[in-house]
This record gives sequence, structure tokens and C-alpha cells, in this order.
Amino acid sequence: MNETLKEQISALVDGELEGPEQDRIIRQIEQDPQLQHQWERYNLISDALNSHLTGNVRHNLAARVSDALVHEPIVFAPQRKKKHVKDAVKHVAGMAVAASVAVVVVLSVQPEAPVTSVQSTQVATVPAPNDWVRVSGTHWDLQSQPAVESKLNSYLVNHSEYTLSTGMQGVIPYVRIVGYDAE
Amino acid sequence: MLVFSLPVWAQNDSGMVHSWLAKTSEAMRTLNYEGTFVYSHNGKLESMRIIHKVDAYGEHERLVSLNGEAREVIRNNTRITCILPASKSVVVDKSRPKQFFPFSMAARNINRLDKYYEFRLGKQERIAGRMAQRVSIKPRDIYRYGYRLWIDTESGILLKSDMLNTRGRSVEQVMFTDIRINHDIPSEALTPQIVGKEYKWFADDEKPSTEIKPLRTPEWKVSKLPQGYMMAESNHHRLPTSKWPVEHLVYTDGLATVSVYVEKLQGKDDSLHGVSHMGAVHAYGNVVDKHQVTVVGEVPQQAVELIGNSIVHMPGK
Repeated sequence: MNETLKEQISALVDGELEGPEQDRIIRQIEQDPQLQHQWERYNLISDALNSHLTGNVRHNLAARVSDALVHEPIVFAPQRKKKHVKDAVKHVAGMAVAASVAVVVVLSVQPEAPVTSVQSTQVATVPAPNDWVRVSGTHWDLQSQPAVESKLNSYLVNHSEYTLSTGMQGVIPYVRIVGYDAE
Repeated sequence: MLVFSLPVWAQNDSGMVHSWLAKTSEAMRTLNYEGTFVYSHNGKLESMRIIHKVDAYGEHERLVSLNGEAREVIRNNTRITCILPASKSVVVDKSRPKQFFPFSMAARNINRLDKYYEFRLGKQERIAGRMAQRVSIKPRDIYRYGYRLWIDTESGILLKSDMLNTRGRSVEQVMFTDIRINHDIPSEALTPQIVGKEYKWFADDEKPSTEIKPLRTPEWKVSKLPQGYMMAESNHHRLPTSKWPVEHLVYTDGLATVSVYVEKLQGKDDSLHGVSHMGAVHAYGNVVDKHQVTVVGEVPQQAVELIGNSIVHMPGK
């Protein structure tokens, strides 16, 4: 892989690319497993530098997780500033999904709890790291389709900003997200 | 304390209901209040706490679930933050200014809604230990929900609300069990209880908006709308669960709102096929011209189906 590409990927991770340039490199990454691997590496490095990881990240975890997951192309949230890299949702098809999952898994573990079993359980059952509005009960009446539910929730949160508010009705959209299905 | 005086023309039921609705919209937006309420839907009951404070910067709201994990939503003029312990994540997004019930005193708004809803003044009842005026809003067809609202006579705060389906059955209910109104609220009351270092943040603080202003007219159109619904907005969004920008059309009859989201098929199956619902919200998914179309709204199933089945793609400029 040539140096320019490496630089571009690095810039992407750091949130320094925008617009068509960003779109271009994303498309390239999506189509090339080698680029995906590079992307994953840069992400891990970036996160490690930002002390986002415990010592327990094994580099190959991403590859193993990727095998277990269905490949899901996901979106980039455009980054404007370097310092927000660690705050970004960074996803590219396939490999990097695994990287993100690995990061999420690691982050989810309590410091004193053993990493082993929790990690493997989490990895096996987490469908996609972009399920940021995933709630633990089923609120939509769907037969366990967490990816669909997650997408519907992201639509719902967005839609909620457009509903007219009859006072408390304005809060209801969020009540649906916040509400917990105790069963 | 708000004193309600009705203009002369509002002496009939419809007019009086409109006045009450205008007052409650204003009260919910301008007063401090905090309390516990129950939210019931689908035979389930959940309780939550809400804190609402108004200051020079505008409104600040915090919603905390009291059942199960402590989920929170914090909302102010610029952003909305959802804290979700189950996925150990925090999501931050830009909020939009709340659009309120269009119950300004303009007679034309009232006349317009009267075509699609019947407004009735009910009796006064006791809710959360306070006296409340009941008003009902009955839909005139199957494409919208009805509402029963109980409005605090003293402050105008909405104490209880019921969304009703076309058979008059409750699909969703929110009711305060205790509430404090018009008191001083310290800012600490609006800070989240639960954020740990181990949470993953999904945010882009500097991003001006998830909306991308369309450079062209929308390529998608709903050819069959239920009576009274009109397009209010069209936008593009970058949504976290979608690979491509999502086209978003918003329709409203002045009370109910329906969103249509259109995105290119991604080759993975996270799209809705057919109908689903959560409480009073219905969603309908359909594939049109290699795109996934999803209709979402606080409206009955028939409305999302009608809209979802009549979406047309008009590509090309």
C-alpha cells in the first residue's frame, strides 16, 4: 500500500478529511480488505493514544470477531476536529466493524471484572456496534430483529424532533426510548 | 399563576378547547416543573421522572426512567443526550426547537383542524392531587389518533394525556402521580446521574446539524396522503444507522406528524418489511425502486400503510 493512501487513512481517523475527499477514501476502504486492516490499526492506535483501551486488546480480536459477525456497512459521522476522533462513530464495511466492536466490548468491561467470559459473550451477541439506541427490551413488536429495531429507533429519535408538541406529548417520543421493558 | 380569560368568540366548545390547548402549550414551555409520571402502553407500565427548567438559555429537560436501568434523556436548546446503560453508550445529537401545538388564537388554524378533529370540553377531575380540566380531541377518520388531555386549571400544566385509537381505546397514556410546579430548580437537577468513564460516546459536537440542506427538490413523493396531511419539510440526514444520507419528508395535519425516510438498500437486512408499532407509534417499511422506504409516526396503522404504499420515485433533474 502506498504512503499517500496510508496518510489519507490516518487523516481520516483523525477527522481531518471532509466532503468528497472523505467519501472517496471511505469508498476505497470499503472495497479493499488491506485498507480495512490499515484502518483498523490506525483506529486502535488512535484509541490507545487517547487511553481508550485497557491493556487487554488483542490485535487479532478484530479478525475473530469479524468472522462471527455479519458484515454490515455502516455510516461515517463526518468529523471536523481532531480532538473529537475519540467521540466519533467510525464505521466502514466489514473489518472495521469488528474493530469498533472490539473497542466497545473492551470499554464495556468493568475494571475489576475478569475480561474473559464477559468479552466473549458480548462479542457473540452484539449484532452491530452502531446500535446506539438499542434498548434491552423489545419495544417495537418485531420478532427479535435487533438491527431493524435499532434502525427504527434512530428514525424515531430523529422523527421526534419534528413532532408537534402538545406539552407533554413533546416528551413522549423520548419516553419511548427511555422506557424500560421489565419483562 | 396564569389567569385564563377567553375571548368572546371562544365561548363555544371548540373555541374553549383551543384556548386550553394554547394555554397548556405555553405552560409546558415556560414553567418550571418536576415530578414523577407513569407511562403506559401495550399493557405495560413504566414510571419516570421529569425535570423541566426554563432560564435565560431556554428550556432544559431531563427524563429518567425509574424502572430497570436508569436510562436518561437530557434535552436543551442545542442538543439532546441519550444515556443508555444497556449498551453502555451515550448519544448526543442536535435538538431542534420544539414546535408547538399550533393553537395560536388565529381562527383559521382552528377552522382547519376542526375539519379533521372534533373538540370537546369535558368535566374537571382530580389528577395528582390537583384540579384538572379534561378536553378531548376526537379524530373524524381512521388516519389519526384522538387525544384526551387533563390540564391543570391553576397552572395549565398537562397532568395526564391519553392517545386514543379510532375505537376510543387508549394506546398510550402519560400521567403525573406527583408534581411540583413553578419552584426553583438547581442546575444539578439536570445533570445526568450515571456517566462513567467506561461509556462510549457517540457524538460530533462541532457538527452543525445532521441535516444536509437539499440542493434540489426531493426525488420522492407521497402520491396518496390521508385528508388534511400536507408536506411540512424535506431534509437529508446523516443518521448513525444508515450508510447513505437519508431523505426525510415530514407530513402533518396540524396535529399528527408522519415522517418518511428513504434510503438506498444497503444489502444487509436491517430494514423493516411491513408494519410494526411501539405504543402509539406505527412504522411501515416498503421497498421502492431499490430503496428502503420507512414511514414512522404517532398515527394509526392505516395512515402509515397508505402513505408507505403510495410513495413514488421521481429521479433525475
